[in-house]
Amino acid sequence: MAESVLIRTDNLKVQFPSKTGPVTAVEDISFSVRPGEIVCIVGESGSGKSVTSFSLMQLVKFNGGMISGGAITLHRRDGTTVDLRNASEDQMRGIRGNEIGMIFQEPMTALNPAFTVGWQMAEGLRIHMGLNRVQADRRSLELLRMVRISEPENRLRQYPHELSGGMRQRVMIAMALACKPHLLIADEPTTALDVTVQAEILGLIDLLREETGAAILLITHDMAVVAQMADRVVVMFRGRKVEEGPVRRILSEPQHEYTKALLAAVPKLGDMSQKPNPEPLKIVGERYRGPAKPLIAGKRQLLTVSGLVKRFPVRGGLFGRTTANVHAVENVSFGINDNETLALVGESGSGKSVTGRSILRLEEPDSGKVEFENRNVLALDSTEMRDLRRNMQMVFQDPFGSLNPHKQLFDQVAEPIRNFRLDHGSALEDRVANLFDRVHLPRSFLRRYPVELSGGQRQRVAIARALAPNPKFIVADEAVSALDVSVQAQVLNLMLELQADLGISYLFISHDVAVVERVAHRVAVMYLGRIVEIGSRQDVLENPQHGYTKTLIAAVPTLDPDADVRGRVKTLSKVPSAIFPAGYEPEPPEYDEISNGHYVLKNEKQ
Amino acid sequence: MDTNSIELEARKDARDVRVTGSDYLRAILKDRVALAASIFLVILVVFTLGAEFFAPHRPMGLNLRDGLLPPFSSGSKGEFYLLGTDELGRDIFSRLIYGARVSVSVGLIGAGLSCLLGVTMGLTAGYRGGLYEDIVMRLVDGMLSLPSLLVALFVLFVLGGGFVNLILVFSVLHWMVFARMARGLALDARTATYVQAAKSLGTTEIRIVFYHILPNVAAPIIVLLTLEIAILILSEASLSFLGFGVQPPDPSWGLMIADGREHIRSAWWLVTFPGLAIFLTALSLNLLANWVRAVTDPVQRWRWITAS
Repeated sequence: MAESVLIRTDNLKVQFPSKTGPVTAVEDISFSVRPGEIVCIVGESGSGKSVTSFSLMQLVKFNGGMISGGAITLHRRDGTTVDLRNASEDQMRGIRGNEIGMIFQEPMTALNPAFTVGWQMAEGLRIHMGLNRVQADRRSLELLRMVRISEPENRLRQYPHELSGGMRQRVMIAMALACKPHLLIADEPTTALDVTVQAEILGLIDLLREETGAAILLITHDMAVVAQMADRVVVMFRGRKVEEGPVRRILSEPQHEYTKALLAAVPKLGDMSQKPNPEPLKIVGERYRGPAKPLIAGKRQLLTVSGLVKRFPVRGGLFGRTTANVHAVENVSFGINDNETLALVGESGSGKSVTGRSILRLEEPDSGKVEFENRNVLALDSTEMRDLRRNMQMVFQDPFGSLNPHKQLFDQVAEPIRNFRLDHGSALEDRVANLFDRVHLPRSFLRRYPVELSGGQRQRVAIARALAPNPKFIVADEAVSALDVSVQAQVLNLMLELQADLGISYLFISHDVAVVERVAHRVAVMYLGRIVEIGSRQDVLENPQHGYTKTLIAAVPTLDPDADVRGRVKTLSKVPSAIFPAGYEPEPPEYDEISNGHYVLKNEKQ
Repeated sequence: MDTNSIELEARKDARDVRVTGSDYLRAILKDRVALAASIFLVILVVFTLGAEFFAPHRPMGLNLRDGLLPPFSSGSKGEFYLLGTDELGRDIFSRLIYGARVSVSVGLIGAGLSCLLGVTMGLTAGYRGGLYEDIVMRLVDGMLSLPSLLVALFVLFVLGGGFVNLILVFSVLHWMVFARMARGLALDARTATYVQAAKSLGTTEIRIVFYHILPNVAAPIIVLLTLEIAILILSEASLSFLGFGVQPPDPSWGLMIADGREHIRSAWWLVTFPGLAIFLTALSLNLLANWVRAVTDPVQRWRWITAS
């Protein structure tokens, strides 16, 4: 029996010292991983899932924590067992990398930018495996082939910044596998990646599990990742394990209220297939308000964007001349009606955010036309533009960065009201307090600072601030993607509620197709700076015509444990880019009209 | 989950507490380093303001018979000299107290003015960019390459020495460091999301720079300010030594060091005590500034001010 368990924790307790006494981060965590098995620890931020995984490697010490209770039993390769809680630093060095490999969330920072990929890989091999330089190079090459990177010989000579995020994560996986560990801990390995890349990396991890026989402990917040990967699941909530079981049982018959809520909060692609209008998500444990009234888009055109172009120069040479241009936004045109939500979907680098920022002139577009209520936005001088901002607002992706850390929430929300001199004195105070009610934040938060709030609460403040001058149009740039799923659902519902009550139009910029399906009336798919397909949500998502739209939709993770993950593993080839030599003018895009209002990009060759 | 969010969890209970003056008082009583620094500064200010009352002797009282007495010695008429006397028999302790008036105010006002000027120029230059930034930064480069002591000598020669001119010259010659730093900080802040957000909310540029960016970049500027105060106290010493600053026999810490140099082998106390005074003042200012920064920063202050 003991032989069949690779690593086991019993009543693990981790605490962090603080000025007010030790804070318990996780408590009473018991689980085990068997050889060759994929166990997922799933939970939201603050659930202690990362602390748990860091404890297994004693890495929690470096973050200032201490393991204050329980035991972690590892069955080593030589047949002995060791309690990692009491292992010496010497012992741990032999275990880390060697017997337990680790993959981190951020492939950008986990590689040292000053050394080539080959050098970094060989260094680990020389130290851990005692290989000489030639052997180490050969083994590095082998490992890169194993993680299916194209042209591995060239990759070895490249620096991390020359690789895409997906390639870097593959390099990290290759390095983690270097010493043939029998346990791989992957902490949110795909969270920072695009969906199509995520699908490939997950498929690769699954394939490698079979090839190497290593067990995998996967830490994630994403139920869809769990569904695809896990054999067994451990659900964590506020530092405790609330449920554990085989993946199918957890997905189909969750026992604990929290697991049920977590599953219900995940938007699932296809849920909205028969519904033309957006609808709020059902949230477990919250009184279901239901659609107060159907969210029907208006008929009057509010915003028109035509031929928008934004390029960023790439400078090179001795005199810093522009040698090439990144065509971030290339001839983009669309319109938004009042009371309507247009979703701009695409992966990182598709130009969707730049488009949104260009409309608000937070970025000055190079050419094109933006009309808002028949006013030419791009021709306004700075005073007129400032006035127009009353009607056009923005909610940013990062709720931690978009609020000034040194200002009280009252002042943050009052800022636009003061700027436009809409109210002052007690009228201002009432107005801000009402906005807090509007976004369901307690008024006691008025005098607090952003640091005292959670991510979801901060995003509510950001929304209240955007609402303050009574705008007609809000650009929501990945407004929910930094939030936990349960919080994401609440914020989405809030946005829909505001649209129903106030008749706001949204430009909803997102990479998440399932979220978009919830909120959008119409959808535009962007790829390398161009809109490749635009139309009503039902047309685009249920009857995709463009190849890229189809790929994007196919890559959306589902909660179906039987879905084929391996089929998505492809050898990663050169990433297509939107960089063109200076002076290059692409042809204007031509679109086929598939049905009323559903357009697909025709000229494929750029 | 990083440690920050754990700590965040930890103080959720202590959250709803309004920070009052007595909280700050309690916080400084707990922090021994900051407490010591502020006690020193309070004593310094009290002594400076009440110099006539606290100084045991007249600072300019010549007494050639009691020249160069070591600390803790008695003079010919039985007077007690706590820190000894200089070659003219003037009481070092009394001169330190009177000298603080000149030194501390030159340091504070001079550094304050140059900070004001430099930060205004630097922040606006960093935020605006373009031609304005180029002009300001080239001006900074140009002025930094001037031999400042020489320029100061020249200007003071033309305008005449004295307290007010000294401060003016210092502000004009020392704002560049602040400008450089502030510009760098503004360059960073310009791309921060909260600044973009402010812009999208219709906030005017001047308000973005001084209301939104300034509080967020104040910490390193305050640290530079405290260092600059010490530097100015020393610069005042050089200029006074050369005869262009405070005119003898008026005491200032810098002048005392300058005068004492001749006797450094035989009478160590002449330079040691004014030197120590400058050192302790700069150190205390620095430590206190650090503490003030920590307790007023909403991101950090809960660490120091906890509800008890």
